[in-house]
Amino acid sequence: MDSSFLETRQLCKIFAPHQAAAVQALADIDLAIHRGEFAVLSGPSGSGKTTLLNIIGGLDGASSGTVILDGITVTELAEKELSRLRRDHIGFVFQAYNLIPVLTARENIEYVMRLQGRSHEECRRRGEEVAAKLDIGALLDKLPNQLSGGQQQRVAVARAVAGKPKLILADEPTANLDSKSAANLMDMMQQLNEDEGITIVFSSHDPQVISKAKHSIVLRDGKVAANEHLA
Amino acid sequence: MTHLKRLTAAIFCLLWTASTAVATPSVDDIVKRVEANLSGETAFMRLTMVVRTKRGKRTMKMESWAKGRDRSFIRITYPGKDSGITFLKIDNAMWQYVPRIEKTIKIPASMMLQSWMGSDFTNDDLVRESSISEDYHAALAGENETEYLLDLHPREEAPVVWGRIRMHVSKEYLLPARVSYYDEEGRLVRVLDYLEVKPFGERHYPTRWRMLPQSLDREGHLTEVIIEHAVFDAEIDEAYFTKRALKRFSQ
Amino acid sequence: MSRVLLRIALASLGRRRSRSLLVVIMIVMSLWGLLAMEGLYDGMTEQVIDNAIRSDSGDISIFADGYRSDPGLHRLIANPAEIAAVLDADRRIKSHVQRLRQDGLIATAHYARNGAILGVDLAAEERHGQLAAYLHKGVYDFGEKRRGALVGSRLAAKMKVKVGDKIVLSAQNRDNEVTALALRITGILKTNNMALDDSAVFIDLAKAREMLMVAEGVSRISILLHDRRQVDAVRQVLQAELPEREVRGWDQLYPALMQGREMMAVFNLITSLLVFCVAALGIFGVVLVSVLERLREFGIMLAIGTTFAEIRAMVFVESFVLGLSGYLGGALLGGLTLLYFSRYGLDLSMFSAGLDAFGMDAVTYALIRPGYFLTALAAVSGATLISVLLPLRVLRKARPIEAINRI
Repeated sequence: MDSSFLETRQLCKIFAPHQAAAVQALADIDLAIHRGEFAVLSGPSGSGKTTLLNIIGGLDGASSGTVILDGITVTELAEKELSRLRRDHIGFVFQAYNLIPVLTARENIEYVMRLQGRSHEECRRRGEEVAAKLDIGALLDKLPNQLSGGQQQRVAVARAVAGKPKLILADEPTANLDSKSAANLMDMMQQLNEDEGITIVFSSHDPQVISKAKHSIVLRDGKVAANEHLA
Repeated sequence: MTHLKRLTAAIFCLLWTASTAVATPSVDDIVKRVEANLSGETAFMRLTMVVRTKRGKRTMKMESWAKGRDRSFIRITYPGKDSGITFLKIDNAMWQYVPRIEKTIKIPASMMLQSWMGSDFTNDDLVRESSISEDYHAALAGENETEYLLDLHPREEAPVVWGRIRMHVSKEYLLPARVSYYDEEGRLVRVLDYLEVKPFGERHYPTRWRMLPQSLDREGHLTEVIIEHAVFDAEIDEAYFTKRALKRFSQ
Repeated sequence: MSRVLLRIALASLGRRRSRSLLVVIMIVMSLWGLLAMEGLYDGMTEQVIDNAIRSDSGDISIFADGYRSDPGLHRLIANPAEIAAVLDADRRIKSHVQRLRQDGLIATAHYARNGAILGVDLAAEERHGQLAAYLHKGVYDFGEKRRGALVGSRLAAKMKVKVGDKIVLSAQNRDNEVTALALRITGILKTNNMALDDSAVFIDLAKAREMLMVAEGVSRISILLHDRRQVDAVRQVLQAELPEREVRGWDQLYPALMQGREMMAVFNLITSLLVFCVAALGIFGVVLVSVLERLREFGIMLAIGTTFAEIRAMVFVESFVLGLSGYLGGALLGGLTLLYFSRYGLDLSMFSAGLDAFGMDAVTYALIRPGYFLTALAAVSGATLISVLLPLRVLRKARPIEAINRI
């Protein structure tokens, strides 16, 4: 194996460290995820899935340990650099409320690209391209409150992908969707993973969703309980 | 009556009427003689002035020396606090000396028309009282047995405030009996009565002057001048009509 | 990118339309009130000053040395014609008039009052300060025989005289003798310069000379400039050229008026501060709530790569749009109101009794000064800036993931 694309080494996170109610959310997480993988983090609620994703994405800091993404030591980056990292290299999909409510679907999708400073034509073109892949081409001019849950998530994914990130982090992206939409979304994400070669790490506790992943990591009580590569 | 007595009476009557006919003066004459009778070459008087206002009554006594109509000197003798105050009037100018503060003040125009010592006479009355013949055009409005009634209208451009003056002149003495002052709208503003005419040597002179203002805001006011003693046409020392006199004759 | 942020900012304001509108209206109304008040109060103040200057002192007055402490016919300006020539030569001077003045007594059959006899040339006074504009009753004329008089309105009221009545003026002439003059009132002047209205009797200058036996010489020369702001400069020049005379600016002759003007400036400043506070509080309220409401949204935006600086800029834009709309609306309404009142005046004649006591006209004309709009802009801008500081601090403190995780 080549050196991993995404690595965590002895990653620890303690919340409220100086107080009596201190919680160790993560303890000595060692993980390696390869470029282009479709990986899932699973485990019961409170097992630290979200915390881990947040730390990998630079949204939260680690108490100790390191995260290395494509050679960049995320845990040592300053705020501004983290911001740039998230803009250029990481795409996020959250469980809900992903979209900026005052912007149309198209504008939401183009958002990160515009942050990146791409030209108007390129934003347009890539936006439509990605929308087509996610089958939401007809919805581009609608506002988020005019879309169903599933449609909104697809727009979120489109936005995450449009900026050509190296990594997409998705935290329980199907949790608020019905099973059909959930399956739909996962299929599309899988397709994207194969077409674009973007590494996708998502968390979920839905077994049907988990089964789509190639690399499964199970967390329990903040520790890695299982780490399997599936065929 | 016998025939002769009747004739004598008739002739006497005729002469008398004739003499009065001859003696009936022109209006201007009347005015001039009234003015002359009110002043004279010289006059010394001792007089009392009583001023009655809503607030009470004030009495003042003074002595006055006058030569002609242009010069006069007055000294206050009563009450004690005002005693010694002297006034000098020469032509149209007036000075006052107050012994308490040992100062002589020139009375400015602004004070001229204000009341003299709180009375209903104004300074101007004292300064320019004798300008009737100059400032007014006289007409005979009527007469009866004892009095002429003169109507005096201000001459064009005469600097007097009155619209009209009515003067009752006693025929016997050719002295004013009553003078009524009217404003331009014909409203009676004040009435000056000259009463109690008494003889002084060859003259007669009203010894009680009463000024009654008629306007509503001065209701109940009254100023009276009583002449207790007067000597006319005697010699009066010129020294009285100098500024030094103010202080010199103060006491 | 900035276009997107701008769109988000504007769209956010639009989503909370009623709230945004309320704040904008608050700012508009308070600004409108501020501008109208400033213009009217300044107008009132300047009118009082202008009346005093036009009717009496001029921008600058020239007296004989020592006249002001010891006025009288013994202290007259002996050579007015020479001084007139000097004044005519100075291009900054618009006009000048001469007056002969003496204290005297004004009497009717009923009343007598002290007053000031002013010998004037009516035509010159009209060209100079438009004295005829103050004519309240009667005519602006001394009649064929020049035996007319124009009397101050309050003096006429106290003496209960009207046009056509006879008055007798008594005063001391040059020889200190008392002289008197009978005149008929031809007109009554209401200058709202209380000193004049209370005591002035204007008579023909030639008649005054005759009465007071002053063949030449005047008591005062009043000067009007083209530009009132040059008073100090011109005064100094004139004083240097006429060292044996007293040359005084209106501000030295009427210190109370000067103070009145300064007080008004302070008052206007305080009112501006009030507007500032109103605007600041209004914007603060709206922006704070709006930021708190959108913490989640901001969290997402930060998560996907928006920098804090960009978010901050967006919040500023929102606040700025509120402030600017308020300012434009308020400035527009305020400006129109001022334009209207500057042309047609505000009629306060129902308060005329009270106004008279202060020497103010019943109809006030508003002033319009660019300064009003600039101060207002400063107030609103300041409010805009300050009011976002706290909400931004709140935003800073809230970390993206906490925001995102708030459901």
